[in-house]
Amino acid sequence: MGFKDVKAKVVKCLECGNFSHEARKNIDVKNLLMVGEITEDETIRLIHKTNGTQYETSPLHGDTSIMVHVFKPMENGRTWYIKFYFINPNTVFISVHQGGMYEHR
Amino acid sequence: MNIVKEGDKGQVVCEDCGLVTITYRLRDVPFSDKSGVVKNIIAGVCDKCGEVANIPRQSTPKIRAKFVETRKSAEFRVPAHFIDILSLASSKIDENIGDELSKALVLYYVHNLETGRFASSNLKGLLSSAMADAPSTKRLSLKITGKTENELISVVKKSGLSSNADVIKGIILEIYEDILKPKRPKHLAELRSIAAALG
Repeated sequence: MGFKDVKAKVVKCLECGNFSHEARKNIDVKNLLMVGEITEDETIRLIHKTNGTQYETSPLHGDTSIMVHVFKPMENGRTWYIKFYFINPNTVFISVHQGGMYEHR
Repeated sequence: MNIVKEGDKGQVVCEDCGLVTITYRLRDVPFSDKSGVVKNIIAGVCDKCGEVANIPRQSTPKIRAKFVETRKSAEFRVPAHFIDILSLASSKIDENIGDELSKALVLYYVHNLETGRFASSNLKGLLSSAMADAPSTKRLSLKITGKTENELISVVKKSGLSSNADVIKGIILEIYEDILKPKRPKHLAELRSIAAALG
């Protein structure tokens, strides 16, 4: 599956609410989508801003037959990290977080 | 939207067991930073190990309510170069982490000043140094838990300073003295371990 197909599929899952979040015995506070610090619409906007050079894949720890997709769009000079994998027909988000742990203006 | 019910089955990758089936059950699930527990939410439980491996989208409103309760956004006005000090210190500890360590660095100092491991007596003097003499034109926003806020209040008392903002400014100047000025930063091994955990 190429970058454009991945992008279309994850956006569709977000639009339809067909997604869940990875948990490792707890709620990862770095997953801002899971804790409600960022909305589905904002996540879709960030995904749309991502270009092919800001996209990576790697095998999923735990099952290397599944690929983890990483979108790294830039916004206001800072990088977002959106990590997820597909288990048909849904998306499982691993993390949606921003580089840098503090904000400044 | 896909709504799951208690007893529904699903398939995900469990951290410990790999690709597994899960059963949605009611569980109390803690936050990864141990700041609180979200009680009685529907969570995907691994059928092999019995641990929570997945959180459905529908549980986010309950998670959100608890998450907001456990965090306060504390904002501090600081001179512009203080932001640069934090970013540079973070990069000096681990050049690959960028400014990711900045918040953790401040909180590391808050904690160690509170426990008395680091002396808080220097902070007052640092605030009257030439390095502190600049208008506070930037905003530093830290998401802190109730526990950290209490530590900060304790450091205000110990240091003889008048506000949380002054403690934060003093800490940034201390970071300048400890991390940026010396060729080899203080507490380097410990801070690199923290950077590795964050990375």
